[in-house]
Amino acid sequence: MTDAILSCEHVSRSFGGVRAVVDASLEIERGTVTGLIGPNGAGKSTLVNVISGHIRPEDGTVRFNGQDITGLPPYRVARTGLIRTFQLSSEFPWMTLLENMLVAPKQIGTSFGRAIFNRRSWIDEEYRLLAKAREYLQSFGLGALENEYAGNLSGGQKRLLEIARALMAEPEMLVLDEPMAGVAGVLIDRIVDHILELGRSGLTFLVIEHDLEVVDRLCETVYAMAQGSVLSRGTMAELRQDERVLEAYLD
Amino acid sequence: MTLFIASTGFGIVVASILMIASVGFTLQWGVSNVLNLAYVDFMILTPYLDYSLNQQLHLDKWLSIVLSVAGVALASVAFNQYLLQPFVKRGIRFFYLLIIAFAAGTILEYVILAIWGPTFFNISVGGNNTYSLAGLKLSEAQLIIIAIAVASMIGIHLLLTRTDFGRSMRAVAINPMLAQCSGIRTSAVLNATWFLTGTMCGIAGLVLAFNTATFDVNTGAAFLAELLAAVVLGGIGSPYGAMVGAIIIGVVAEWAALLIDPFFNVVVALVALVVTLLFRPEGLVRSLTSSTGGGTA
Amino acid sequence: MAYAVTLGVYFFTQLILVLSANLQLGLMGMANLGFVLFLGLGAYVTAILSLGAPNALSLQHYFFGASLPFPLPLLLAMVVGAVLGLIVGLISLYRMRGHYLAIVTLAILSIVWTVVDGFPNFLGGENGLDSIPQPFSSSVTTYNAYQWLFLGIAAFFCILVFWFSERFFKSPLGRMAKSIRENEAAAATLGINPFKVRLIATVCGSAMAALAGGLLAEYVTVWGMQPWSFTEIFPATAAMIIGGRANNWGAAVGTLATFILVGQGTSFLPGFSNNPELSYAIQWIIYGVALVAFLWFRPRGLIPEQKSKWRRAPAPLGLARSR
Repeated sequence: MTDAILSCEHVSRSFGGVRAVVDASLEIERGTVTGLIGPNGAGKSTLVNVISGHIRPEDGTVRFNGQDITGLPPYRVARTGLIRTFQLSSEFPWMTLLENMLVAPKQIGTSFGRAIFNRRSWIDEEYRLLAKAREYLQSFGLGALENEYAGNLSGGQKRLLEIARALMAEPEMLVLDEPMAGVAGVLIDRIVDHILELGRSGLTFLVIEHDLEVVDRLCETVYAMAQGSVLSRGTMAELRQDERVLEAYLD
Repeated sequence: MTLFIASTGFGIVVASILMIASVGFTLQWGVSNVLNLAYVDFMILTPYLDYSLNQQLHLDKWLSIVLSVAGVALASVAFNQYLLQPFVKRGIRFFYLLIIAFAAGTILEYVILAIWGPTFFNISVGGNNTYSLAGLKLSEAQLIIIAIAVASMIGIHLLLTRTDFGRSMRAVAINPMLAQCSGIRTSAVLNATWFLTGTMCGIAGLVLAFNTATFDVNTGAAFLAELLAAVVLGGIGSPYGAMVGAIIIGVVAEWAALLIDPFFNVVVALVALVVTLLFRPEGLVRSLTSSTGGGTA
Repeated sequence: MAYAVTLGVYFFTQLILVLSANLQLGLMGMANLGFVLFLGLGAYVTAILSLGAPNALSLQHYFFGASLPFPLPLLLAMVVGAVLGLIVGLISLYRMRGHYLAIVTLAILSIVWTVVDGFPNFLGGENGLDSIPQPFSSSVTTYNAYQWLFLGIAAFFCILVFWFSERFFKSPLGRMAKSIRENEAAAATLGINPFKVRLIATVCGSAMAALAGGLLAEYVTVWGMQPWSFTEIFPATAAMIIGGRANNWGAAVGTLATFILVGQGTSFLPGFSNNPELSYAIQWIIYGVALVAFLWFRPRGLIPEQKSKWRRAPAPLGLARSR
C-alpha cells in the first residue's frame, strides 16, 4: 500500500474544442522524485495547472495529503504544502534575492495589525528567516548575489532562485515545471544534485522535463503523457521499451 | 409618446456619431493595445481646425473639411509613432502609458484653449429643412450625419474583409509577433491603422460639432464616457461590436436623459460601462482579437 | 512669510494624497486611477460634519449635517473613506486587472462626480459648500497665528500618515504587496492571497486620501467640484512618478517638485501672474513634459525604490537546517 501524497483521479479539461487533458489519473508516492514526460501539447502543463489550482478541471478530483484540493485557488493550494514553479522564470524582478526569499514563508508580520503597530512581535522571526534564506542562497551558490535584483540574474540562476525560494515556504511537495529549461550544462548538474539531496531528506517531487537523460537521473518513477491522456507509468528504462510511449514520441 | 420617438431619433443621431468614433477608438486599442484617452481631444480639434480654415482663412468648405480631418489623422499617427510606441517598446507598465495619453489629451485641450480661446464656436452643415421619417423629425444636418456614419461603417467593413490592409490589421491585432514573422510590416500597418482611425476620429469630431449648436473643448471631453461605454459594451478591439455598442448606448442614453434627467445620459453610459466590465468584460460581440486588455493590475 | 506658511499647508496635504497614490499605484502596482474620488468624499464628509444641520437660512443645500468638534469630522471622514474604499475594492478588484481596473475606477469616479454635480441638494452640487468651520477658529483669532496653527495640524497628520506608510512598506506585508506587483501568479503559488492584500492597500489608501480632502476643506473653507475632478489625478500621479514610485521620501520630493515648485512657481513668472488660464496651461505642459522625460530617462524617479536592508549583524552560519 503506497502512501500517495498527491493523487489525480480522472481529471479532464478542454479549451474550446481542444481536449487538453482527458481522464488523467496519477499517484505520487510520498518521498519520491517522480517524472512527467511527453511531447509538446501532451497536456502536462495543463495537468499541473489543474493540480496547482490555476485552472479548474471539468471533471475529476485532485487530492493532496488526503485533502480534496480540486478547484481551490492557487494560494490555498500552496498553503496546504504543495508548491509549484513555472516554466517561464517567475522571479520577482525588481526585488533582491533576499527579498524574493523572504516572501515565501509564512510570517507573523504579514497581518495588517502586527505589521504596522507591533513590530516587536515579528522582528525576531524576520531575522531568523533572513539567516535561513542566506543559508539556502549559499547552498545554491547564489550567496554573493543576495542584494542583487532578481531580474538581473542569468536564466539558470533564476531557476535556482525559484527552487530556493519555494523551499522557504517549507513545502511537503514541489512540482517543478521544466526546471532545466534554458539552463546551461553545469548548472543542470547542480540543480539535479540539489533535487536528489532534498529528495533524500523527505521532500516529494514531481518534475516535468523534456530532457530524458535528466529524468533518468532524477526519477525513480515516470509518467508519460500524450494528447491529454496518461499513457504509461514506470521507470525510464521501462518506458523506453513501451510501444505506446515510443509511438507518441516518434509521431 | 412623441417625445419618446423624438428622443429615439436623437438617439440614432448620437449613435451615429458614437459609431464613427468608437470604431476608430476600438481599432486603435485592438491593433496597438493602447487605450488612447486623448482621442476625444483629437476629435474636438477637428472642428476647431475646420472653423479656422473655413471661416477665418475663408477656404472652400469641403477643402477645409478634408484638410482638418487629414490634419488630425496625421497628428494621430505622429502621436502614436513618436510618443506612445517608444514607451510601448520599452515595456513600461501600462497604466503609465494611460497617464501619458491622458496628460497629452489635457495638454492638447489647453493648447486649443490657448490658440482659440475659451469662447464657443459653431460649424454647421446642411440646410434648415427638417424631414419626417416614421414619426422621427430629423434636420438635414442630422440626416447627413447618419448617412456619413452608414457610409463609414460600410467602408470599414469592406476594408477589413476585402483588402490586404484590413487582413494585416486583423493579424497584427491578434498576434503582432506572429504577424511580423509572416511577413507583415507591423510598423507600417500600425501607422496606417492610426491614420485610418485618426481619420475616423476627425470625422467623428466634425459630426459631433455639426450636431451641437456650439462647441468648445468640453464638448469633446464629455463624450468620453459614452465612447468608452460603447467600446467596452461591444468588446474591445471589435469594430462590429463597437457599432452595436454605439447603437445601444446612443439610444438608451437619450431615453435615460428623457425619462430621468437631462444629464443622466452620461451616468447611464458610465453605469453600463461598469456593469459590462464587472459581468462581461469581453463585451457582447466576440472580438477580432484574443487580447484581454493587457497589463497586470 | 504668510505665503510660505500657506505653501507649507498645501505641501503637507498634497503629500498625504500622493502617499495614498504611492501605496496603491506605486507599491501595489494597482491601476486605481480613481483615487481622487476619496479626496472629494473625505472633504464632503468633513464639511457636512462640521457645518451643522442645513437650515433654510443658509444658501447651501446638503444632506445630514452635524457640528462635531475637531478632530471628529476628519477621523470620521477617514472611516467613511475606508468603508467606501472597501466597497469599491470589493466590486472592482476581485476579477479586474490592467486597463479594465483603470477604466472601472475612473468610471466610478465619474459617476459619483456627475451625480454630486447634478443633484444640488445632496452635497451642494456645482456650487459646492462654503463657510466650512475651521478647527480652533474661535480660540485662535489672529490670521497669522491661525495659519501657523493649521500648518502644525497639517504637518502632524502628514507625519502620522508618513510613519504609517513607512511601516507598511517596510514590513512583511509591504513585501507581500511588492511581490504581487512584480509577479502575481508567482506570489499566489507561494501562498499569498493577492485579492486580500490589494483590498487592504485600497482601504488604507482611500482613508489617506479622505484625510487629505478633509484637511484641505477645513483649510480653504470651501469645497466644490474642481479639486476632485478627473484632471486632479494627473498632478498627484506625476508627483509620485517623478519623485520615485514606491518610495515615500520620493513622494515627498515629488510633491515638492510638482505642486510647490511648478504649481506655485509659474505664477511668479513674468506675464503669468495676471493670467491664471495661461499659467495653468504652462503648468500642465511642464508636468507633461517632465513626466514623459522622467518615464523615458529615469523611470524609477528621483529617489528610487530602495532595496531592503537589515541592520542587525548577520546570524552565525551553521544553524541547523530546519527542513
